[in-house]
Amino acid sequence: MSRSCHGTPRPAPGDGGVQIALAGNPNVGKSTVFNSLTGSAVLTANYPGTSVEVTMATVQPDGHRLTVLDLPGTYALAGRTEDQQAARRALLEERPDAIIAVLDATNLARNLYLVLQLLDLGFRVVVALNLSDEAARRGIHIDAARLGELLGVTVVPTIATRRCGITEVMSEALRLARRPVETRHRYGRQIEELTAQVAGLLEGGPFPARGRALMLLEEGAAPDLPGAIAGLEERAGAAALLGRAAALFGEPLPVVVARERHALADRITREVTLQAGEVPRRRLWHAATRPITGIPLLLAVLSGLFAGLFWGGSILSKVIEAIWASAISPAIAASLLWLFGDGLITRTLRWGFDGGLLAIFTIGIPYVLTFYLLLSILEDTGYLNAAAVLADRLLGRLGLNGRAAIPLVAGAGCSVPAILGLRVLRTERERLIGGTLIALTPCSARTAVIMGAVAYLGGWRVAILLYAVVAALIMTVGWGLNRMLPGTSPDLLMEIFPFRRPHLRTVMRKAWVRAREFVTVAIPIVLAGSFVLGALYETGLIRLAEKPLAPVIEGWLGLPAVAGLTLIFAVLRKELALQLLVALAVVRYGTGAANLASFMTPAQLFTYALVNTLYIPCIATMAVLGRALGWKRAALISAFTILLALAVGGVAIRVLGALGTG
Amino acid sequence: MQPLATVRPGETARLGPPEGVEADVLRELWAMRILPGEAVTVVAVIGRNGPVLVQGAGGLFALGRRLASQLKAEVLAQ
Repeated sequence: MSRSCHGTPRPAPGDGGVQIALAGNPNVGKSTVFNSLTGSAVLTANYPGTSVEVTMATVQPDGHRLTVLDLPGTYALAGRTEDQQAARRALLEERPDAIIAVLDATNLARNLYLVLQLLDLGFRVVVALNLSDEAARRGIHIDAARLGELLGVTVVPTIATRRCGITEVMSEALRLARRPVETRHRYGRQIEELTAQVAGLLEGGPFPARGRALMLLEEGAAPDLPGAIAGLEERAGAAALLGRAAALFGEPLPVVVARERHALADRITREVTLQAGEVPRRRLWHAATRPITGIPLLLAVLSGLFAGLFWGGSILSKVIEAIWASAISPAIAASLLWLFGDGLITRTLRWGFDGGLLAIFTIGIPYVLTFYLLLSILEDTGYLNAAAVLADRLLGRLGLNGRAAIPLVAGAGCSVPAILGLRVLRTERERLIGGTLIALTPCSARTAVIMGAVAYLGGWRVAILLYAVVAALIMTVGWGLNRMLPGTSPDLLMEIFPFRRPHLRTVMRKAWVRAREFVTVAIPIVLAGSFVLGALYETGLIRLAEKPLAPVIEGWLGLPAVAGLTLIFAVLRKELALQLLVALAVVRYGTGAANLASFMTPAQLFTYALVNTLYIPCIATMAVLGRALGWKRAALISAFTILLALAVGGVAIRVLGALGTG
Repeated sequence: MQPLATVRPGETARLGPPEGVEADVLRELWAMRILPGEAVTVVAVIGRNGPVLVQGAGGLFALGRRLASQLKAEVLAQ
């Protein structure tokens, strides 16, 4: 087998549609291996009963169809978070032809736990011993060939960020996909005897009887695995045996199996480790998590993140806007004119094809892509973990734990991926609280309105005041939900990874894949919404909504009537509110109204931006909320945000009026 | 045995049977090699009532304060 860093994987002769899964612990470089294997042809799939998207890609090396699944990181197949459930179900229900187990070479023993479990269940496994470069830097040397002998699998040292070893791993997985499997390793005598007895009670099934018996020992009487434990009678028979065995071992059988598997992983690691290396120093980690140094660092990082977002984003936005205005917009206008002539249809279509797409490209690409680029850098360095540890106590008061810090920070970029990120939270309760708080968090589109309506006219202090009001509301809502919802939220349980230098290609690819996801979700909704809005505007029907809204918009919120219409249609895209407000105001009050200050007071602008920030994030966010939490809860959250926005907006205009800023 | 949350930074303790930890959390802890009989060193306690960082044979982990209180441990002689 060659050891080159480049090349195309070659399937074994006769291979047809082969399915290969990538499995491994979190943060071992699995997605980097996936990206190296598959290029950019990536799809995502939801697993029933979860909101987790399992990334998959179909590639055709040398004309053979090959599907690669990138499973969420997991420590074992028994985990119960949505992520871990998705990994478990993908493996046990899809039963891929081969599994590429990606291991962290710097923490071999712990990583072997999952590999042993996969081998117990009779999976065909190829081991990618990843982060080999980092292991070498720390003086860790592993005999990969000997590891392969002991496990009965092929072990390939890899450096996924440099594509080293990836070709070999894929070739081996393809070669393996049709071969029978032999499980070579064995645990201690007592546990093997018990396993054999339990296996004797089980009927034939999709996995080897020994593996199913071990799973029964590990998971007690209720492993939710269809077909793995055959027949209720056999389970009942096994249950009596398990009861006797637990008494014999003197502790719960799942602990016994876990201890046996860790002990075997230890023995194997000792035998294959030629040099143990040094334990990494974690001085930086201590600085990042100790409140006295960590909190200023966190504030500096967040300030840097938002400064980068606004500077980087606004530069990109201006460039795109200039190109659009000079070349693309005239071309679209000319094409529509040529196709439909000058009339209602052309004007309506321009709302979508010109205005709608421009909004996506001037918000979606510059702000969302820039945000994801910065977020991916933070993720790749491992700093987000430090932030999660630091934020744990604060988030605990809101019914969340430190793990929620990552989706909440992502919510400042775009609510859609932030809500998808809620899958890292363990319980429905946490996801409901997290989803509500993300719905209230100003995303980049809402920030654009705050910046355009408030900061531009009132200065940065007013914008900060608005952010402070929103932050206080988020804290109050989280605290209230934590008190009101039944039950408690689980505590933080998270592995701490050493800081790593981010790898540019990985960071850029990760950012691009996420931004592309945003654009894919946003484009159809924005186009459809813009056409509808355009038609209502161009036909004048939009005015019909003014009268019914008057008591709330003019009476309670103290805003001009046109503002109400824009708030309703901003549910399609939040940043649209401001553009539409100017457009409608120009029609109503004349061209002078292009300056918002000419027809709205500072207090009205503040209230307008506040209400726009708080009520329903946008239709795309509602769609993912529905998918992640169920439609009823998504509707409840949306209704709550509307009521909150109206209540707070009404209070704000009165307080500001009383302070003489109206 | 004392709650792991009360073990001081720098001290090493052997874990005992947990009390009141949910089954799914226990399975994850065991896969991380945080299980009865294993020795762990408390590396840091983050602020007052913040998470506890523990170094075990499986790696470095952050445990929320309540979870760390549910895990019982016996401090080993230095």
